[in-house]
Amino acid sequence: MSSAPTTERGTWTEAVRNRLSHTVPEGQVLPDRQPAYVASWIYVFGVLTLAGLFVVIGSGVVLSMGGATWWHTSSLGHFVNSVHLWSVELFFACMVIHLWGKFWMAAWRGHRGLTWVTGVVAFLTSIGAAFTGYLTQSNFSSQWISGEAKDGINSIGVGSWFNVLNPAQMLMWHIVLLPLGVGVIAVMHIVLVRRHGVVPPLGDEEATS
Amino acid sequence: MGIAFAAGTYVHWGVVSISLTNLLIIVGMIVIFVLALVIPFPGDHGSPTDGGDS
Repeated sequence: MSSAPTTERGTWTEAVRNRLSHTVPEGQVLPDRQPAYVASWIYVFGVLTLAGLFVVIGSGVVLSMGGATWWHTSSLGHFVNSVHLWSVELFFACMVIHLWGKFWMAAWRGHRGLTWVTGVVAFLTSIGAAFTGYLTQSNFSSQWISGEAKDGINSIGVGSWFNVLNPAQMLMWHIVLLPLGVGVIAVMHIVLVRRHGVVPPLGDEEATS
Repeated sequence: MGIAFAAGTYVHWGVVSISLTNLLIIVGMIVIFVLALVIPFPGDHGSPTDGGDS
């Protein structure tokens, strides 16, 4: 009776392990050194966006314990709601400045097209998450916004499936589906950045590659 | 009148209509963007590329 082989069995666990270990070059998951050109404030806005996302999700988790109307009846709920709102504002401001910087340095160069595309999709998904957030304020503002939005949503033929006049459905999109989408895409974006590295300055590709 | 105040001040430029608040926020973001490009980063002594992960 032969002993079971320990390697090269072609199992799915081995395939997943190999895939994960080759996704990012060794030592680049959390590097402690970066190319000299990264020493610029413009490179800070990507990680500021990520920090903003953490605060958005954290404050959203706390809000979920009190419920969508918590902030109407509690000063603590109002505070957490404000933290959620302003962290979203900073998240978007940092993301747009990050977008401007990456656009003008043509950050899709050097096989980084998918990194750029995942950033675009993360941006668009975040806008959807923000818009459904406006619909879950549980006040006259959200009522007016949903009344206006329904015509646009109906005009593209998805109103019966994505009903902006249904606060419960919009709340679920806001706290489950869209945050999940933003989170997954953000992870993909970061993994791709670590996989391909930070894009070098224009005209400096030869010297740094 | 109160509703008019609540609606805020709007800037009109041709077909473009934007609230003064949003315009100031966008201008502020552009200012921050330019400052991020021109202000030296702490600890940057102009060292050559270390060949990190590009």
